[in-house]
Amino acid sequence: MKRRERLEVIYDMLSIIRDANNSIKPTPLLRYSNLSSRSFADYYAELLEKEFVKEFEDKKGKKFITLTDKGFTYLEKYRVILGFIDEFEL
Amino acid sequence: MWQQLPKPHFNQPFLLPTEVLYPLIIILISLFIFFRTKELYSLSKYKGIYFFRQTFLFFALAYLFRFLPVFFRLADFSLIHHRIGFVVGLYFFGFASTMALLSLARSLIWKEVDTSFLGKPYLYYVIALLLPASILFFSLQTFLWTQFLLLIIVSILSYVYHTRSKKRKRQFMYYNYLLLALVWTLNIAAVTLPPFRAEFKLVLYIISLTIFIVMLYRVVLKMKVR
Repeated sequence: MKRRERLEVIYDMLSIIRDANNSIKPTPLLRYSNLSSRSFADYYAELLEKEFVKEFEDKKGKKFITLTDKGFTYLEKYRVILGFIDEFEL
Repeated sequence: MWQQLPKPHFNQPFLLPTEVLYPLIIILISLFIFFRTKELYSLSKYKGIYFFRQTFLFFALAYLFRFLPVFFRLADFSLIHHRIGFVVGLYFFGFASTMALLSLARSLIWKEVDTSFLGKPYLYYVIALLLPASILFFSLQTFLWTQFLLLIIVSILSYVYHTRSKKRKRQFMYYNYLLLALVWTLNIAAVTLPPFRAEFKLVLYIISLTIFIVMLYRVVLKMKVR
């Protein structure tokens, strides 16, 4: 998959988390992201590595995923990034 | 090599300030573009943006190192440390110049060559380290010819890969980049060859500044969050 589509997948995943009141379990995220399990694992690892998302556990010990400030910034700047890539034909 | 070196002539009053202001403005514009796009790269880790930023970083360095040969040439050239300073300055100028041209090329063709030999980063650093060495072992003119050759190769490669690209939407930026590379190569000639006519230099500088200002304007315009 080319890098630009990768940017779009990341955007979609972060949007799903944001739209779920910024708190979602991994399984629904996998389901809504429309990715294979392997691809999801790769992208999810990337989101964690880049600190776009973080994990936390509720009182019952269930894992949830939430956006970090950097994740929100990515969502905000996504259109700018795409516009920049298009403008300068990068 | 020393006998080939012309002493810079500043026989017209506007030339010396021009030789200082012109590179200074380019350095400021280039560094502004480099730092202004930092967040975009930090968020996306998109290679095209990386090479784009690298281009302007190396242009800034090249214009910065451009001061050194001119400075040492104006100084007492009989002193050995001035000659050494001149050569060292010229080498770094050559390295940064070559890297700027190569980064510009990579920003255009990286998607096509990413998995091939041309996608290997060490290749470009090796070329950038070797080409300026021609100054030491051959002559300044040899180095200039290597830059022109590089410009031709970059232009051909960029044209071939650019026309292959299915997503090529506009030609404007492509020709803008080529003009940037051409004008920069002429800048090198202005530093290394016997004195250009002042009028030609002035025209060259105005065209260079225009191109950089256009790039700056487009960067600032595209960076606005809507």
